[in-house]
Amino acid sequence: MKPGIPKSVQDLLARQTPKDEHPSADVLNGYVEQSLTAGERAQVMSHLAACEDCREIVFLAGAVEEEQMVPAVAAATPARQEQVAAAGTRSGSKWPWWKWAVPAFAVIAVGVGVLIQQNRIAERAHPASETLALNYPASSPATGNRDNAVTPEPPARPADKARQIAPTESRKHPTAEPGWNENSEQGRRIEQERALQKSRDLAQLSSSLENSRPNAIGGAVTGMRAAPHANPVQLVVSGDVTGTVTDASGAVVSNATVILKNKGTGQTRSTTTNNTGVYRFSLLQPGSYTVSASATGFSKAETTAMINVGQATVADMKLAVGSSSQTAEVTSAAPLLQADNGDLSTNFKQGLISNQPSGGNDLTYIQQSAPSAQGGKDERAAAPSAELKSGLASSGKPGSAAATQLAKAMLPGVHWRISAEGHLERALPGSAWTRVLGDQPVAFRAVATIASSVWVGGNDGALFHSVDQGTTWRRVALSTNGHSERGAITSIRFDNAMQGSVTTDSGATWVTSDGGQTWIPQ
Amino acid sequence: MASAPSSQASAAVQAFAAEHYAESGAARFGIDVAGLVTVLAEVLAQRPQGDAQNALGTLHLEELVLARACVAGNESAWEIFLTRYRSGMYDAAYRIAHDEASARSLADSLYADLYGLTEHGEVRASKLRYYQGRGSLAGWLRTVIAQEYVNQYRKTKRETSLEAAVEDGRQFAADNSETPLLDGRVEAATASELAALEPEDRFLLSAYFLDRRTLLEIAKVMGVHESTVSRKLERATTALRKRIRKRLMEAGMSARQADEAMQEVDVRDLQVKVRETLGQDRGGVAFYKEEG
Repeated sequence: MKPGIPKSVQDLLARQTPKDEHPSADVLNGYVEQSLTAGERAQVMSHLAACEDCREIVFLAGAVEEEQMVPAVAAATPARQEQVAAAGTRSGSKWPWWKWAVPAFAVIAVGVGVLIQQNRIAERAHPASETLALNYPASSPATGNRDNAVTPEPPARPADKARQIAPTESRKHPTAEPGWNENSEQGRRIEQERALQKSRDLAQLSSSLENSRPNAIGGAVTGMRAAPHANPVQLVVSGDVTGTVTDASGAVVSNATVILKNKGTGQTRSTTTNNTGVYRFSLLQPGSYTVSASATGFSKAETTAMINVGQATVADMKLAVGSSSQTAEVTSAAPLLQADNGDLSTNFKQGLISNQPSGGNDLTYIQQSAPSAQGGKDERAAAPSAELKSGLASSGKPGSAAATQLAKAMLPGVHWRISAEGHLERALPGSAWTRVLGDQPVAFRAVATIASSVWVGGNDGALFHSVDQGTTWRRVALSTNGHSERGAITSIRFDNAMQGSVTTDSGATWVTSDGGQTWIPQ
Repeated sequence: MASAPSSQASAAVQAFAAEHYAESGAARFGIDVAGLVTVLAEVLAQRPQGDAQNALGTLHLEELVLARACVAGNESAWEIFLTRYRSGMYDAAYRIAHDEASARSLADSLYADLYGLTEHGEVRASKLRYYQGRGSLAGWLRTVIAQEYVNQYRKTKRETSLEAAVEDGRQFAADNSETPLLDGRVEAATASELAALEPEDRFLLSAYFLDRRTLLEIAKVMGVHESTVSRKLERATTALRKRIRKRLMEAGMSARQADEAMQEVDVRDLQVKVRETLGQDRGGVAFYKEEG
């Protein structure tokens, strides 16, 4: 057995306390992501050596990092990275930047390959992926072959007893908010009160956020509760699965092991049923899952469950008596009714939206046709009960036909759309679609509304603005210093009445911050 | 927070802001170039002097701008933030806390902090203002969740009730907080040799021997391979032992005294070590001497 460390060393290590301030979350994250400068890194390492709490934080954050669930956002553009590399070379680095280029290129190539492969798998496994697209970044290929490497045996650790170190004097742990003292009784009480207040504020905030969303459909909207009078955001992005495990006679089986596996990603979670035979997994990404249950003396049962956003899918399982080596495959159809909670929601797929004879692809119209929807178009005050979760994000590529079709605006009672021929059409309440701006020799590509304004754009940089629901129009010139926009406007977006942007198929973006009086190219 | 007005911002920052303005996405939040310069100057004021070029190059600019726009209360920035990060936040909370109630509570509490609600919900002083763009925004969120977790849950775990102690039979446990009397020379030698170690080595020793982290965990956090961690640990422990021993002998101990003073284990540890050793199947045959 290899030597461990002397007891005196262990005792001293356990007694050390950090002498400097705890690093901020930003610095600790920079440490975990290896993006600190050499000086900062040494400083953090020195602190971490002495601070048990900060070590815990970096290990917790580091463990989660590998399976991060949000779309990766490029840190620095290649151009900027080159600048840094070049700066490093100037300052006498022994490793010129170009030597990194070959391995970096190889890593990127493999990464892209893995990503494409994952996407293919995800597409096969998630027929409903239009509903909500979540990106799972490919894990670094560098970590993939760790298992093959021969790992030398590390020094032996001292016995477990050494871990039973009485908590030293309470340490002020790092927090993003400096100056907060968690140790005093009063501090704790304030914290509790604050937590209560936070939950109340949160509820208030959600409602205020929902009511403040602008009307224009401009970008990637994950979910929208389609209330006719306002279009607030419904930001539920996960679902639950729950069920009861019973035996053949219908008696509940407690303490059965239930394993949940995401068919797309292969991730698994496990739990056991409670004493009423019920299990539940929460905060699940939407998709197709396999649920299997097993218990001593019973054969294994398995079923598939489709997790939808905002719903608790019920997947009950019945275990047959048998030896544990038997495998009984039980496949159930998706239940028609979920009785787990009172939420009613419907997932709309792109195909449904396209095929619905909906009076102009009006999303609110489609929503009202959903099962359980209440309130007609004219009952503005009726509580909305159907949730609309559309695949706008996936179809919202600028310039695509689907995007153009969906780029209609929803002024109360007045609807706008672009026809397949590039005509701008308007439907007044109770009327059919009629062509507007027909005298203009322009193929329109995008339309958006904000407050009472309507903006419509098309080829040759044509941009028109109406403040009276399309009765009168003003042509707005996109030009600056003698340069005029000639590309076709493919998308128009207004974040509020003053700030908006248009993009063209030539890749140009023009922005305004004065309600469209002036436009500046980006 | 120290902030430098944009007029004092260096030419390098201004040039950088102008060059990367489009890529930063600041325009969509109504932040002009001067605004971007102010943001950059603020961030650089937090960095060590002379590190500006490197700091700018590795900055997560787009995410930094998004965070600042959220702090400023820009609705479209919040929409983007929520779309991109909300589910990841809840997921990270679940992975850190390992139970749903705690995870939800952690993530909800952070969520409220991010909005920066005061007790009356009036002023937005979002926690996002502490994001400085050193790493990714998603990573920052994970780290903040981990901080909160360590703050709240681990602290309360340390406080165990008397009933629990009775149930576990711990009320009769031997008092092992008593430190064996160490020769003053041993302590002095150990302290000075530990202090002389590289920070990285001290970190390794603490993480491995105190926190009982696995080689894989340490490797992941340090961004190196497991075998590298193992080698470094081996080297650090061997060198440390040698140097302490040497120092003890210089202080007048004999070789044998020094070895005894540096004993690794006490009697209680020994029992455990025997068990561990017996539990390891090395393929060899115990108490058997090959004949011939």
